[in-house]
Amino acid sequence: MKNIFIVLSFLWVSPLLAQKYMSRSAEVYFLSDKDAVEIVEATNNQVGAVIDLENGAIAFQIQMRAFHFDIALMEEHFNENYVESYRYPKATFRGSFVDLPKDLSTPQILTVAGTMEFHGVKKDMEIEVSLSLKESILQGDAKFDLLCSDFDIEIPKIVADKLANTIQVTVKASLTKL
Amino acid sequence: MKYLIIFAFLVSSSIAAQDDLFSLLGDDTSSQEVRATFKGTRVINGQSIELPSKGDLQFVIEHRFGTINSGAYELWGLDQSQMRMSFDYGITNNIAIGVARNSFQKTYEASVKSKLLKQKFQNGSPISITSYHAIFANSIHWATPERENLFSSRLSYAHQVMIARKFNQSFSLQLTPTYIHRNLVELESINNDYLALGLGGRYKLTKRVSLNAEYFHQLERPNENFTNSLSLGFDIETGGHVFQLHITNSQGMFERAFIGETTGKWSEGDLYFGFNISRVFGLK
Repeated sequence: MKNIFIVLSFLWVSPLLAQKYMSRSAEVYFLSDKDAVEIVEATNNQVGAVIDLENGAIAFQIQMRAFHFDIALMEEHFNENYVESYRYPKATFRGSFVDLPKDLSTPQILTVAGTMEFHGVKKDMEIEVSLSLKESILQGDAKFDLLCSDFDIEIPKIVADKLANTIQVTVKASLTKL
Repeated sequence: MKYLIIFAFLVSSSIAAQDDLFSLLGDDTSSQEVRATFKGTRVINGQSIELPSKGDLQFVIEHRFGTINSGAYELWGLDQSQMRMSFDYGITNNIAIGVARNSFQKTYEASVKSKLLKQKFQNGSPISITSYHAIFANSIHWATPERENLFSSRLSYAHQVMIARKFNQSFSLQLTPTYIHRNLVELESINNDYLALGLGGRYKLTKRVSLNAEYFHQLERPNENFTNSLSLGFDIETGGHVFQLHITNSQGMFERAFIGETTGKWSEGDLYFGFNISRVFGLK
């Protein structure tokens, strides 16, 4: 009886957790176009990320208020006037790897298809991700562009020629096995 | 019974396995501080709980024109004005120091402002508390130079505790208990100490414009000639600047003057139009 219980509880745990990797300290950095007059850049290193290697599912959760800027006033304006973090406190990405190879010992460039939800707007996207698995750490890196206009982020006319519409996003995540 | 437990385990596992990956990440916002309770470091005349961030130098220039009821000859007050300019610097995110000069009685000021408690979104303080301490020194010529005059007679002090809550994105309210001391007063009938309770609030009309109101109730009046200060105004924010336009019955722009020595009466139209312009310079 005891043995059956152990086996069963093992079965209960294993499918749920065995292939899931997670991090609560992934980093998202963004930079508005370098050619713009006002360079806006910020880093958030409290990003939550989960990847399930069994089915290739991927999820990111970004607390907007955790973006740190060098200029405090810029951080305040980012939250209050642009991304409206009081109304949309987080951005999320959910999707899955289009094709996930079994062997990740060397970094693989893979495509993730999914939905970005940011500033209350959902957008389907495909993102190139470099993924590797070494010593039970799943390392994922990505770099892609977002357009403010795609996510209804309003740039006032008075600063329109100073701020870029294109935002370069860099993601670095080291996920450990759950 | 045991089988039932195992069965329950199995059922719950199959549900959990399909559950969203997001449930693993949780939703922890407990450590996040509420920011931008007010747009500026001043509600109107009085200090707000905000202070310049670490390494930021804030320059504020303020004007109060003459009374609006002074008529066309004075261009409704615009011919006369009092001004104040101040520099405030954030030593850390919680402590700022400042110096200022007022044209009223040619008064110099030095101040320390510190954040004592910060409102959190969840699982934390529901209010923010900031303290403000200022010393004022007037530099006008002595009224009676023939007698012995002490420098200490020029000094007065203000101590304030600002208690504020940002109720939602638009609405913030602040209570400001205030204690003011003057070393020397003009008449025996004027008290050296006075206590007041301030009430200030702002309501955001758009992302960058808010309506502000401020009232200081004198709990212990220095003298019956002085009235309570009431001000109404707008904050307009444009990038690194905050413009504040207002109407008030106080012409003085430092605590001793507007809390203790306001003489204008709203009922008689002794109102002053004024503005504050603040600009932040990053020095780091």
